[in-house]
Amino acid sequence: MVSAQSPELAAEEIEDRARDHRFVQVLLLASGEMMLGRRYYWPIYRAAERLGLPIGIHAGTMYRHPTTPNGWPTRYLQDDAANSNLFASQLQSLISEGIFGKFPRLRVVLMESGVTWLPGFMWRSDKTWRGVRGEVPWVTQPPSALLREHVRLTVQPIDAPADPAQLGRIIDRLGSDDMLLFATDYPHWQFDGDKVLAPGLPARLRQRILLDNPLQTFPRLRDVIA
Amino acid sequence: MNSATTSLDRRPEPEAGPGIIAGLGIFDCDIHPYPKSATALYPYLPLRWQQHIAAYGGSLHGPHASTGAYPLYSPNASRRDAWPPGGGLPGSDLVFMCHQHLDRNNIGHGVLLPLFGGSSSRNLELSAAPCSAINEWQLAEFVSKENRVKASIQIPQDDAAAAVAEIERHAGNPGFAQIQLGSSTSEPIGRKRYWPIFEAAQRVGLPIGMHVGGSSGHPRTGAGWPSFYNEARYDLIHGMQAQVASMVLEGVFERYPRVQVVLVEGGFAWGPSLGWRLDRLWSRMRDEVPHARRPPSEYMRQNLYFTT
Repeated sequence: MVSAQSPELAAEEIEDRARDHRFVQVLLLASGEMMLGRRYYWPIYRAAERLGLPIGIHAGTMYRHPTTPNGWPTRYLQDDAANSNLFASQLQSLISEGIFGKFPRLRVVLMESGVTWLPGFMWRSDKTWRGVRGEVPWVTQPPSALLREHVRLTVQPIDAPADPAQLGRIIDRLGSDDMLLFATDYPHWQFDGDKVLAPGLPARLRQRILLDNPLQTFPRLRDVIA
Repeated sequence: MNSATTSLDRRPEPEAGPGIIAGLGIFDCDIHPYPKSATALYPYLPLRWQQHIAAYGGSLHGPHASTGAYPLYSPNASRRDAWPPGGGLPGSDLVFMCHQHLDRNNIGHGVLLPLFGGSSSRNLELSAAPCSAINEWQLAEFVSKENRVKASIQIPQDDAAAAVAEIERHAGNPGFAQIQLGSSTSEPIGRKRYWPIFEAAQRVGLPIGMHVGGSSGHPRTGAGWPSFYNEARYDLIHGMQAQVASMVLEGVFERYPRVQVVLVEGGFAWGPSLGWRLDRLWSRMRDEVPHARRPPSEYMRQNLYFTT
């Protein structure tokens, strides 16, 4: 936990706690005071990158801003539905502000973001960048390539299609087997029930999602094995 | 990534003829007309509002009186080759529009969606008057001169009574193809204050064309204001998604089941995933939204259309 509203103090906290390998990441919220790509937050990323800690961004908001671009909806369900848009906007912010060029070893983990929106994000983000990349010349790779290298997502929820046969095709559109991490959301009640791995996930990904990718994303988990 | 270089060089491939019914021509559901000059609407606008605009500008939600909060990267967000040789903004010269677009691309029918004026103005009177003027202007300057194009009824979206009056004024005129809304509204469009607009749309039998963008006054994202047009443009579709969720979950399509909403220029690759997400949340929490009686994706398939 860090005080994102005081990035310098947050960086100090990261420095202090990083020595203890029982801490595996830095936790931020999907919506706070400002968009996460802003320079204001860069001390946090500088410290996290230097110490090899991923940035975990978890669903949720401080309600500093209306939960939709059209103001406040009326129900909890609508706030929850809008969460995946918060993540997409934050990715677009991190990309556009040049975070992944400025901090090339930084990893970002989206937690409880949903997954199936991501291929569409890649297409639209790539298309937008191709058209107006002159505005952000420090972004020298297509956003989809940056995401495959720097961003990971937990699979609860995944927002799967009703037909499991379609899920594998959607996951294949990510263009990477490295991006998905197993998660349960324990002990929250919003979890996906007993089917902890969504039916239809490609079999080749099972070991990756359950073991390999989390280990790669959180290297300090190796201490548990050792 | 090698894909970067290749994708940068991509050019649209000319396609073979569409092979459609001879003589019919294809439908283009998103064409943008613009006024020839800043005063081109004055013949349709009461003097009182001409003077008001000249003195105070519009009343939207940005820091600038005449432009949006983000520079659009290209002038008027337009193709460079669409600037009419005779002057004026792209989309302002009907003859050139017909020559360059309708004729060349076999557009048999086009729907005009003006993207200016003030349907989301904070000053409700300054919303209603320009909407009326734009409606008359579309008929006089475009529809009456070119039978391939039809107009969209502009409405002052935050004044439901005035919006309904404007809809009723024009609904019987076959020159109008739809009622126009923006994906940016002061509140999510499914909220009760907007229901009279859906009631009127169903009653007069016109679809609602919801074009991406507009002026809401709220941050472009639920996490605050982005820095770059590269973000602001990407994030546009989240407003559209929020409108879909709002209409479905507030029970708009349960109350007005024959309303057709056309989502214009908002992308559609997000549609399936949003449907699955809403279905999942609805199955868990539908007692919070008892007026949405069926899975959200069913309403989406029943009542929504997407332009390509």
